[in-house]
Amino acid sequence: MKSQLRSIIKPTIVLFVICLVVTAALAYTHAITKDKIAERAALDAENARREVLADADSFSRVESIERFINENPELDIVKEVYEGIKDNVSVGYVFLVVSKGYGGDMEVTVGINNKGEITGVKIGNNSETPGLGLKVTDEAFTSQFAGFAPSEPLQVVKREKVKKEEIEAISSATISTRAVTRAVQAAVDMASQLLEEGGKAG
Amino acid sequence: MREIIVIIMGAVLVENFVLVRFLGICPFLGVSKKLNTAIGMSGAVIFVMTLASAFTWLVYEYLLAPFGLEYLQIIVFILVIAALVQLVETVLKKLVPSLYKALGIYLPLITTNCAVLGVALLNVERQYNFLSSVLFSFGAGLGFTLALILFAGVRERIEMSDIPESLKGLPITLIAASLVSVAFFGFQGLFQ
Amino acid sequence: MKALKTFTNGLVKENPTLRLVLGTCPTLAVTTAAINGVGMGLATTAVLIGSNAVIAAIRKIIPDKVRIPAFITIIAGFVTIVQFLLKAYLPAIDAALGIYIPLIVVNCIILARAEMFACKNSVPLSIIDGLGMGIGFTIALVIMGSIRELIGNGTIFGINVTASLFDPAVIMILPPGGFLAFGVLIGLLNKFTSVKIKKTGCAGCNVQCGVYAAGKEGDA
Repeated sequence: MKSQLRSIIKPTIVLFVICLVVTAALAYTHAITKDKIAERAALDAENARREVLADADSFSRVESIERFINENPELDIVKEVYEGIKDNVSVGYVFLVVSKGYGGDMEVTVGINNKGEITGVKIGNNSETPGLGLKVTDEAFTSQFAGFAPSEPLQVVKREKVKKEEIEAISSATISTRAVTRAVQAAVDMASQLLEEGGKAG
Repeated sequence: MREIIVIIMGAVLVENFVLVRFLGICPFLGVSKKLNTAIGMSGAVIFVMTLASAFTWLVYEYLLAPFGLEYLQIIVFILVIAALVQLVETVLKKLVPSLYKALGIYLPLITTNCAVLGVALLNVERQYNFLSSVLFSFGAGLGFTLALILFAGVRERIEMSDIPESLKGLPITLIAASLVSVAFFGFQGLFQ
Repeated sequence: MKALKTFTNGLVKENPTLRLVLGTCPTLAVTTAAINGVGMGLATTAVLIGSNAVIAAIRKIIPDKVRIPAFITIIAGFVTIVQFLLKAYLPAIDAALGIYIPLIVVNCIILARAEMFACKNSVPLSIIDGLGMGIGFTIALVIMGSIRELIGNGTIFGINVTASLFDPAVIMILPPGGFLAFGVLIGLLNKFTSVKIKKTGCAGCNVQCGVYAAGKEGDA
């Protein structure tokens, strides 16, 4: 009876101790890497913002974007908005949009200046297929969006584009193309409202 | 209703765990030789996968997330799965001996099946709610079954064919899997 | 001498991927580019060395009954540590490998080495074994990654090789290409080397772990 009890207790204790030690090791690693991970994520986001709105020196977060979403539920893919500032003057906005791509969520950072022109588009974290959907991260694709103020809704086409508002789909990756286009469109829509407000205030 | 169908069919066809996501390749190559073992293994996988993702979802939502212990995710998930497999085995043995006989030998293999841990991790990564998690993992299990059963048929035919000596066995199986995978590629973009 | 033999064992004779056919999932999934192969291979190597060392060190204390859970706990611990370090210092690799980093836990190679080597040998020897196996795995992944990247994208390690000569066959970096490249690679090895792989090794590993677990269940 006693030895039977021991044969249950000993393994339990050993396993418990192993779990305890491993947990402690993980807690320690977590503690020392946590800040670094957060810092890096913040840095990446900051760099992405700079890249799409090169004019700005600093960025300040725009709160209360819910009012736009309440008005137009389709804008709920816009997660964060930043105002780009240079010499204390607003030069435009940066939007962090999370759109649904082929492989899952896709982070798109869109920069739009005061004139409503798209200044840059950058694809962040995503799960698109290498060789197909992942091509949306290429400069060749994202540059299609940059440098103009869309006067009509962006449209994905499967042929050569004839006007700026048409976005040439990457072959066999229409879903990924649409995801990016949807994200940029949402940013454009919200920017036009923000700029309109700003215009009134000014 | 539409959402339910999209999640399940998406997991079965569009991102078939074996042929598109490369999860659970080991058992796929290991037990797809004969139809009856393929069915046995699939049954065990669907069962454990659905149960495991329900449990891991609850554990994550009510134990790990509230206390900021997300960093224990991997360790907790794998232990939950291992414990669950043992539990299921013991319970089946006692209560449903006939089912145990059919699935029994496959159950221990499931702990090291990366599809089971994979589905649990994907549920968290995609922030599925409880119902979606369970449906997604059920669909993933069905997808695994589909791949295994389709392939059991293919392999039974390969056995009969005349193929070069050096391709016999594993290489020809992988090449055949590549062709079946091409077929599944056709489902890409079925749902948006 | 024994150390050298242990080391080269993992590289050639018992190469985990190409000879024992263990860890097929990551071999197929992450080898869309050669650089991913390096990342995955080195991450796995780190886990292998760590878990082999710890398991060898405490092999006499672990009771037989809870051997597998104890191994899994230790392995999962190392995987999590590697994941955090990657996230903190090499985020690009972490993003490229995604879910396959946590899935190192269920990579048969690691549990198989714990079972077959670390729980019977000294700490230094187990570390060497882990290193050899890990590097063998890395080499195999890099070979797979290079082949697929070259044919599928015309580059190796991102350096343009044939991309400007002809259109790459994208299918090679898609899932079907993974199966195809691995099948052909093993077929070629069969053709040009003396040892034939006919049985799927991973099934062997699974059965081994499985039989063990089943036996344990039997006397519980």
